[in-house]
Amino acid sequence: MGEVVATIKLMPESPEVDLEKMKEEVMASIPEDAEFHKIDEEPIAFGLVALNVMVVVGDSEGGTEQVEENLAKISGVNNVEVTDIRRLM
Amino acid sequence: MAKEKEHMNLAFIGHVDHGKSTLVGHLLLQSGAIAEQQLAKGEDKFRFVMDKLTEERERGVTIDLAHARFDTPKYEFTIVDCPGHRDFVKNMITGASQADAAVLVVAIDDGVMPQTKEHAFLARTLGINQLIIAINKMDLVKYDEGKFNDLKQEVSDLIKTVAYKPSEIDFIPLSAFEGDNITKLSENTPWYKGPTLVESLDKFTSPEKPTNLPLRVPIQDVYSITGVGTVPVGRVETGIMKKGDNVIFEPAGKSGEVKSIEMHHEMLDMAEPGDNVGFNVRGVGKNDIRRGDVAGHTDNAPSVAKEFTAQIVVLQHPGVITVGYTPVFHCHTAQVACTFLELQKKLDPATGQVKEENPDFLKTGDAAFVVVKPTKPMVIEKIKDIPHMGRFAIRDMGQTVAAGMCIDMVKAK
Ligand SMILES: Nc1nc2c(ncn2[C@@H]2O[C@H](COP(=O)(O)OP(=O)(O)OP(=O)(O)O)[C@@H](O)[C@H]2O)c(=O)[nH]1
Ligand SMILES: [Mg+2]
Repeated sequence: MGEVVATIKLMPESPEVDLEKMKEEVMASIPEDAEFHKIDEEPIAFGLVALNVMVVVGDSEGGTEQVEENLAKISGVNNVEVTDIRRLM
Repeated sequence: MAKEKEHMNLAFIGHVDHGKSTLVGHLLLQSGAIAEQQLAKGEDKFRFVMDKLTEERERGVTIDLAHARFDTPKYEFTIVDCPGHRDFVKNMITGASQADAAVLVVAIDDGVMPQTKEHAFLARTLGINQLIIAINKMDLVKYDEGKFNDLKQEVSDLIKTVAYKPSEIDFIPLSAFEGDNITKLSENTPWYKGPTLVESLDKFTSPEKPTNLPLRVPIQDVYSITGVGTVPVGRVETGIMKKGDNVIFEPAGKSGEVKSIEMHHEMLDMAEPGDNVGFNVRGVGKNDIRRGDVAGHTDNAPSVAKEFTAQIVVLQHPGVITVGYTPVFHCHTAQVACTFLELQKKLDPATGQVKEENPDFLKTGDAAFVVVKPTKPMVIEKIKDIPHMGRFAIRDMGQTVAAGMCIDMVKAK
């Protein structure tokens, strides 16, 4: 069974959210069967900054579902969108 | 300075174990993505690559390799090895459009398998118009021309069902293992007169940004920003949005003037396909519009469907799909429950012929034409008109049960 690297974009609730705190919560939220890789900041517009979270999950049932669910619960996160997925070789 | 090569995203698709990774390994070796000087003298290049690909590596290196590039004379390619599990289909359909072209790998000893069919359908649904068919593992059948032609015919019939034209597509007999017909024509297939895989990749035409289609910006979020006003955020899928344009949000039906556009915190005069932007609209309040709405020009508004005809493929369903079934359709940023009104016809995926008119039910593996009715207003476009806005994934009970595209519609207004 292969592995999949997913890039998940988190949109903040406002330009004022504490990104550093959000990052910590992101790392703490990754479920056990997924692997955190990194977080990049992406400036969007009018002070809004998105976080792009890269995680590795199994190429198996559920996909990125659990990761997305956990990320969506983090305070300050407006919504969560998977923007890239590909297999690792 | 040399002209920069154009860039393309290339997906590798096909049934489990048909040789996608092995083929990708070969192409990466070509590119120098795995450096040749790492080779000991006399070492078998190919073995080396496969070992490189499978050995324990630092995580970062593995992840970089998944985003590695390789060059042909004309293009720079990034390879996307697509996940195999169906639960990723939703991400492929609603996330960023990833692939400009695809290589469909079919192993000669196994032939057309369920995922070969599914992936051909998904490639079409994802708007991938350029395809190469790699008939792999030719070494296992002693490079037999007759067997190649038989499978070529079978795959031709299959891809015709999703409107690919086999006469315009290269079918290449190869062995990812032995390296036949990948970069140079093989002596093992003297009967084959077509291009090598790399030559075929260079025959792709470069992807054009869909700037001349109508403007469509599915809204991801709406903000109210102090000192600015209402700011919807989304990715421009098609068309061009300029400062001063009058835009309408559907199905909300609210319109206003674009006062300013920003991307990466910089002001833009105009935004084009692929741009992730926030834009300030005068005359629209934060609570007037929401995620799932789509912005377009007032004089060419996004289509709101009362009902629509779709071609779907059932990926995995524990039971059967019948008239009345109401799962959630994920289309661009919208999620709307839609009711199946009519099962028009079931198709034979191998031939595209109608297998059954008005079937009583659909089950896993079936391809069909159906009519559905959104339970609330929803923007969708015919795949022929605006491919980026015409595809959807169908979710139910925490699973992606089907994928499809909008063929026709009855508009709500
Ligand atoms: N004989 C022969 N075997 C091949 C060839 N290409 C791949 N294989 C073998 O087929 C098996 C599957 O190859 P992979 O490249 O892992 O196939 P895949 O399509 O990436 O498989 P999944 O990622 O699991 O879907 C491996 O054992 C390969 O060594 C070929 O051209 N000839
Ligand atoms: Mg593989």
